Amino acid sequence: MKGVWKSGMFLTVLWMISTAVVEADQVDFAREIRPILSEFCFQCHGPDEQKREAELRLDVPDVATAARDGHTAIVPGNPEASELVARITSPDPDSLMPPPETEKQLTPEQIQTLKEWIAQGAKWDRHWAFKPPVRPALPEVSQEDWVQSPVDTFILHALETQHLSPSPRADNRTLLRRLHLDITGLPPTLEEIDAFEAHNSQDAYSGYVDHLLQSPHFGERWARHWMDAARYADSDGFEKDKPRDVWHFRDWVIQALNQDLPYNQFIIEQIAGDLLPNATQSQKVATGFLRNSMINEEGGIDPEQFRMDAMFDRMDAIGKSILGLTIQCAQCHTHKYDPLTQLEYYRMFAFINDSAEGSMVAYSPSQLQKRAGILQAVKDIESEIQHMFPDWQSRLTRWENSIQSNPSIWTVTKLHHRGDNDQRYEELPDGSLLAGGYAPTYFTATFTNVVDMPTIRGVRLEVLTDPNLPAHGPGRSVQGLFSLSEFKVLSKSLVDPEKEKWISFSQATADFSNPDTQLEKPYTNYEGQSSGMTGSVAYAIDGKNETGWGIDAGPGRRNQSRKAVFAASENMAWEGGTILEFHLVQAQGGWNSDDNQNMNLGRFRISLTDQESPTADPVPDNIHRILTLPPEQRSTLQNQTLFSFFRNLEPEWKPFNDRIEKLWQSHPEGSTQLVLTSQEKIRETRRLERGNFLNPQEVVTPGVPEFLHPLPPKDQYSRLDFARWLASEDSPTTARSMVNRIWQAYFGIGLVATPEDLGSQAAVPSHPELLDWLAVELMENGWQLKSIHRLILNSSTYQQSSIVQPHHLELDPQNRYLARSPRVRVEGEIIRDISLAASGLLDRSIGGPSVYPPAPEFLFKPPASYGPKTWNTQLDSNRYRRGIYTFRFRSVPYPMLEAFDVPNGDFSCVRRSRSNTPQQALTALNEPVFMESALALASMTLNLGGRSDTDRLDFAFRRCLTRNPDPLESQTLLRFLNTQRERFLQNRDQAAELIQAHSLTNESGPIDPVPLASWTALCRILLNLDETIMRQ
Amino acid sequence: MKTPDFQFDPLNISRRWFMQQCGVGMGAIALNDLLTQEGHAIHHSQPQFAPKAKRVIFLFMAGAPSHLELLDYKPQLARFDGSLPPADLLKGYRAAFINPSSALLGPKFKFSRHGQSGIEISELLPGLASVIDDVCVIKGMHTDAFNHAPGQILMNTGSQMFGRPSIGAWVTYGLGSESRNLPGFVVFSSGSKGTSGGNSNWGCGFLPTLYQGVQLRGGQEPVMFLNNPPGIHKQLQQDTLTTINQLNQHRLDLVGDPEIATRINSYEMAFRMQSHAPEVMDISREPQHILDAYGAKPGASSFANNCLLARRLVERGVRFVQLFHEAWDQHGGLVSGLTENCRNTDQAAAALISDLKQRGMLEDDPGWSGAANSEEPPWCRAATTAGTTTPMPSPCGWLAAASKAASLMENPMISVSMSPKTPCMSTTSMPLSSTSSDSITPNSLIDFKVGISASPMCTETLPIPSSPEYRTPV
Repeated sequence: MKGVWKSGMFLTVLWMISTAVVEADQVDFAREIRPILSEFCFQCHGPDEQKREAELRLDVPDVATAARDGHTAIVPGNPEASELVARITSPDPDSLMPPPETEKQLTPEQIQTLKEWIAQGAKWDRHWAFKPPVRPALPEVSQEDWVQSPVDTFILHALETQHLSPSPRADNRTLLRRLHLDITGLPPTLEEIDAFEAHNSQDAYSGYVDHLLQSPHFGERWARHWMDAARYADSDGFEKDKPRDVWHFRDWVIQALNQDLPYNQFIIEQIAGDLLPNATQSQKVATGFLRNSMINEEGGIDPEQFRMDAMFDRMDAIGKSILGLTIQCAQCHTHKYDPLTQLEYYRMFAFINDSAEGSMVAYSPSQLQKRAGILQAVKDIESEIQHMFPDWQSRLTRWENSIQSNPSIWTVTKLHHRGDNDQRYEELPDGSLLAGGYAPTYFTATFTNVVDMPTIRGVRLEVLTDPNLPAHGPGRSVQGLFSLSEFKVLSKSLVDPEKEKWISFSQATADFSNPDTQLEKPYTNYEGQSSGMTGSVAYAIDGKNETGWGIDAGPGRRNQSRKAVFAASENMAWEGGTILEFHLVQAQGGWNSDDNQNMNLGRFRISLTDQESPTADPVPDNIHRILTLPPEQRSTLQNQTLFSFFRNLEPEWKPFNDRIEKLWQSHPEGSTQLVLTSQEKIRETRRLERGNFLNPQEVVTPGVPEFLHPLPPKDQYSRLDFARWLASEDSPTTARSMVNRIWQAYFGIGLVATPEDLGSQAAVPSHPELLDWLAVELMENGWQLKSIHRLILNSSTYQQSSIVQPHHLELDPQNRYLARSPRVRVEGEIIRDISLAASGLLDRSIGGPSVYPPAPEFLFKPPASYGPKTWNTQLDSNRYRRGIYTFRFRSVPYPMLEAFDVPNGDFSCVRRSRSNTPQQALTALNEPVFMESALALASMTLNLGGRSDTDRLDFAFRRCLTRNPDPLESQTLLRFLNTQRERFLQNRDQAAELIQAHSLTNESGPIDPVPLASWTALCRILLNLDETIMRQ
Repeated sequence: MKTPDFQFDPLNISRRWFMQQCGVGMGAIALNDLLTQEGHAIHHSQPQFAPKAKRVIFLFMAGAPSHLELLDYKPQLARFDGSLPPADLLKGYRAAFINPSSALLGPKFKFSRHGQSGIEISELLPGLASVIDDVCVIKGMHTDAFNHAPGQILMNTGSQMFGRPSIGAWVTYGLGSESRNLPGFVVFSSGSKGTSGGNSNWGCGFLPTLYQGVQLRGGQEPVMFLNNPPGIHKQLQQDTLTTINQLNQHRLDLVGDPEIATRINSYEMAFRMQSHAPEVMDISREPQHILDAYGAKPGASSFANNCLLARRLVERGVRFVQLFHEAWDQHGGLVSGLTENCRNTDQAAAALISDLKQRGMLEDDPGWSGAANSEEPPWCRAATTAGTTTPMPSPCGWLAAASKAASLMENPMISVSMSPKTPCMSTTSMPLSSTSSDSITPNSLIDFKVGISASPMCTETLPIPSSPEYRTPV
């Protein structure tokens, strides 16, 4: 066998060489020369200035052909006079290129090719992928009747050139299963098998393809590829690896693909959906794409360091998933192979360096609808008030006049953090502090300042919203809330530090406090006892840590800036200056600070007053801001906001207000989603020397690399301009990169085998014209991805049999010419889906939060995981959702998926590896969900599969493999069944144990466990067959 | 037109990925080896010493043991105990938890010289002291990652960003596995916490999944899903595997896909693992004196048991065994914490070295390699200022010098050092330091800790590049 294979290799090589000799006409720069120069020369004679030797660059013709020190590297038409030829053939090691110490050596063939190219005039050309694709003519083919789709002409042409011929069409059932697995990632049901058999013709085939492309499961199957590129995971990564809510993004991808959102729009929304005019929730959620980066909240970190790491990760993701280029190389230095300078990298970086790092509250479609209804009803009631009380306007004006023109009595005081840098604080221009990094629980934050006010009679604490906080804050809890357990101030004399006093406060007031609320899970101690309650602001000065000030106004109104004022019983100041120490006790929260259990303040500001007995202004800041505008300049929305606030102040309107309050109480509880939000403060972007954020260099402005398409001229660029540039029809790589990955998903290998890199170092495309043709086709079809799917699925190329003939392995072992359909193991998620679908356990519902299927418990506890993690294994049908919905902890990957090569979202991945390991065998044999599937399939088979063993076997076999077993398979399996039945009859206890251990219900099971146990053993085999997990 | 050469070559592609994506560190070293193996050496020609390394046991002391209390004696620091460090020392100093009122802390434990080399070792490490002549201490390693997860990932993968292949993955990728019944790269965890950074410390990054570390545990089920599920008795499992393989063979005959043959092999090996792994993992088969030497107890779950298991595994051809002991993050309670951790690890680590030596598994010229960043962070000056510059009469004094030289170079670079006499103890110094809870009091501690991995690393020789230093490719 080995010998045969070897001689096959030999033949291939011989055949390739002879082809080369026969067809030695014009040397093709792009295919033959650039790869050689790129691999052997560009590292020292390429784009990177810092590493360039002898000022020679071979990627630019003018420089390469210019004379220098009496030598000319390349003299077009004259290899003998070209220094390059002399150097690559030099016998002197000191002169030889590439230098021997690089251990790179040109082959005689490569040297010959370079010589020929120079002899032919040394014509340069840009790298193919940097030129916009142009639709090539369809090649001529002789076997025209094989062509069903333009795709086929390219494939057939290449096959004919190589004297290969396509394989016959696959049989119907193979094709049916292939279509289902490729398009929806689920095997066909028995009904679908029968229906397909009944209407089989080419027309019916196309119709069936369209039908499957409309399936809502199409989005699930294809979203997975994009989520790999988007490095999706449900946790932060790094040490704490806390759970995060990002599943709205997953739902968005599924929906976008199902609706065939044009690919250019698909990109624009993900990079800058928030900046689109009147951005919808869905467009904002789409920006979760860039936010899938990891977040480090270890103790004592520098948040800016990890924001930068996240930025690099975002650039990498844009490079790999959209541009198909390895732009991350230029993070530290100018790219070695592609003409991308480090400066250009940071110019692109500047576009996306505008975002805050918080989250928004997002709602499911039904919640959105409900919310819209509530908002409308509130508006209606407000109109009703205005209708019934025509003098509402004069009442409002009267109130307005009564509260205006109060000069502020408050002076903002600077806050110096006195803690140990566990939680970090960033000072903002308005004097407020923004908490970041590690979020401890049960702790006191202490700040000091020196104040020279002679009289201090009160302190105001403003808690402020910020786009960097969860749900915009003002707290750091997952809902943006906090609890201020105690507010304490120690006042010391600047003159005599011995003199100090703890300030007693006579009164605490706030513009809002929530009603008393006992804190529940996760805000509990280790034993599960509540960490206390939140409520009135008075709790902040009651001397008890277990009660605190809370501001939870319920869903829809929760995340607002609020303020509390603490009136001192005496003058807080000392003569000659005062050192004030503010102690913000935050003793509520859960025991595990490695999880989302904090109730900390997020952004806050402290001000002082010399006025006696100050109280909190009940009028919020946003209302004050509206009031500063003359009435005629206020927008409709501002007038509405003003009225919504004012109506509460009129006792006469109480019945209306009560109705509105009730409506708000029915507001749905959304969940957070990490998104991009442009922050007001524009960040300056600088080039970072070697990518080190501590080594910033010159300021850079937003811009794009010169070797790619230009950016339309504009005064000021935003992230949205960058998004549109990425998705432009002028982009040479955007469309190519996408069609290449679709091709890869169908045929196992892309037309370019390196989908992450179409640049100079890319693998040579197998069918370059087809790649360009498809790219142009995509753009001309309005970027409709399904148009590309249709072209591929309806091709003869796609419909070929996957049976491997010996000559295939000899002539084209990697199947790059596609003389057969590839036979590929499906992705890890789909292996799980097949098992669940075949057994009837699969819950086919689409979308929603991630789920927790069974996993070994020890994984979520130390020492397997850093800290304890919550994994509440699902006991309902969510246990059997598709693999795409499985919750993904980055540091503790789900074992079954990990075994089958599912990446865990650490970095952008556009090509999965496919391994074949003993761990996979152990998983498919022994993992609980596979066992539960085997049992469920057995049970269904006994109930619905007919009466005889043969009928039942056909039933179970078809559910797994779509076809009936052949006689040998049937015989083997029935023999196995009989043996096990015999054995279980002798050991009924084992049969009962098998059933008991893998059934979720506590029922006692069938009276006779033997049939079910034996069929379970048989079904376990079916789920483990190679063919079951292959797309063939 | 000539026929394009687009045959898919995974090695070629991986190499390119490496060139483009890899940072520095252990990954780089291992890659260099495998390139050498494959005849594609790109950095240097002949190694100075013929590589003999076959297997690696890497004891990873996660969480940051204090080098100042274990291996890096600073008697002068005692004089400054309780005093504040000079202000300029902390100027622009980036570290977790340190603030201007964090005071210096003198050594809490006694040091004495041991072995022919006369290396100074803390009283906390009597075991290590007893085998010190088989150990090389490397001082002078630096890092710019001062948080646990990024630091540990840097140490294991060469990059503080997630997603790069770990050293174990590279080595297994480069050298393959010698065991037909066990995974090539095995990982154990012990300690009070799990490994910060999780799976990425032993992940395969962009290499095929085959090369990622497989976590083994003591106890009933050493490998996940190794045991037959309840109700699946042995004969049934055997019949099942036989039938699966028969049917797969039948399919192979029909469709000719070599992948099916691989699948048949995988199922066969899975079955062998099922019968083999429990025996390997059963340390009760060891004689009592060996158990006593390690302090291992059958049935328990401990670092000592893992050390003994590591030896059993490498004996059976496992290529790379990595033990993570995540317990060294002493912010407060330095004295009691270190004492306990050393009690839990020192004896077993020393026993492992002796045991390997006795079995002829420690070669004469094995190597250890460490990665250091050249940028000398300020904390390092702290150590020099407060301590002495006593010359180290250890076999690795030149290593420190090499590293020092590296630090003088303008650009950060990877510096790879090799000791002429190996199995070694290394200290990676890094800042971290000090206390969280009590750092605001003047008497609070400042413990410059061994950041990520004061990692005793025993090797039965990993072939490593001969030159003390080389630049990374990109």
